Amino acid sequence: MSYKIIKKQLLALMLGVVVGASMFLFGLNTNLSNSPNEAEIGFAQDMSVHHQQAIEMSFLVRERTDRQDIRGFAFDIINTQANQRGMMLGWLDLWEKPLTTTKKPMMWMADSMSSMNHSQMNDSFTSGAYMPGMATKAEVDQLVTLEDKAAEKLFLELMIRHHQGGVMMAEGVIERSDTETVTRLAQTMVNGQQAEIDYMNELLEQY
Amino acid sequence: MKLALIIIGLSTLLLVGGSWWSTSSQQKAYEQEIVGITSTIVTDRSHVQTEVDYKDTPPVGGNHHPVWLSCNGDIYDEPVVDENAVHSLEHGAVWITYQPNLPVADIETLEKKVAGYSFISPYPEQESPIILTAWGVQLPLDSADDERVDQFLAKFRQGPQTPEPGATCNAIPGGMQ
Repeated sequence: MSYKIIKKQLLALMLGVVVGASMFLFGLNTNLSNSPNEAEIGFAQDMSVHHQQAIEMSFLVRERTDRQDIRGFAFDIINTQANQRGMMLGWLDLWEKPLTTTKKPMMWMADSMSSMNHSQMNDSFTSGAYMPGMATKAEVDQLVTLEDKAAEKLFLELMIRHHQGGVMMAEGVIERSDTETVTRLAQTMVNGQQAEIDYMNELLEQY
Repeated sequence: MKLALIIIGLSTLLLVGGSWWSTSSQQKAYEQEIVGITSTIVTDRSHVQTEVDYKDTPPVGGNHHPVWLSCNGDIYDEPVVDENAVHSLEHGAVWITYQPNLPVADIETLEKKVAGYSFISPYPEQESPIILTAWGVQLPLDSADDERVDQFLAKFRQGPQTPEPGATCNAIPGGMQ
């Protein structure tokens, strides 16, 4: 082997070390400026749609009841979820990814969805809804026709299911992401929506 | 060949150094210690209509009333209800409390610092002259001029430990019983 070839190999080896070391170091960086994985993009796109429906249903119930605790609770959901949507859309903006996707929803969790058995699937997906826990158009239309107690009760039922799906999606991205900004917000969704599910179940007992 | 080695060497240095710098400056911003802070991991955060037995005075978090206290720079001259205030902490507010006998000049200094995502009220039962509280964190102080007031406000209004990011400090329109 000539000296020239050894030099070439040495050069290639050193280049490899540089590339490897920089990939390792940047890989350890878990901030939002890293390039996102498919689950992080999918979660931000899908969860902002999911949040939008919670906001819509909360506005609807506020217009249909005078009951102050339900109106206050709905006001909380509207503000919190609207701001959280903004955070997720902001990530997509920074990542230079589309805010609205033409992809089939929930593909980023498809691996665990396909391992579910039939009843688990039915529990998380309402037939006709396209993300876990979401209300169908018919259910939202029904909420529009109701007033007072009937509207409150349907709102609570739909929102409990909506939150259950939201918790499942947030847990899904926590399993698939190392980006602290993403997992931190997702964890607050898991804890917060679970606490709200308990509260809504208590309210629902009164009907 | 020599040139190639120098280029490789320099770029390695740049990559390693740059990466170290960006990680460490980020940590500084996040983990900047404020001397005297106590922190607690709070897991209870249900809505309850009953009185809650909080272990800290004032409370740093826990179960709370469904209605939060308006916390957009609000100045309360009388003690507020813990269960409402804790809900404001959940929304990311900093709660400044003081012993009622704190000199008026100090009270005014603190009141001027209260803005978005913060509120202030007297708290007769507390043991320090001034206490700053956010969800899970607390800082007792003797003087309103302490530089840690600003540090605490900067770090913990809508801080990273907020359980409900994005929640509002505006009162529920029309109020609520």
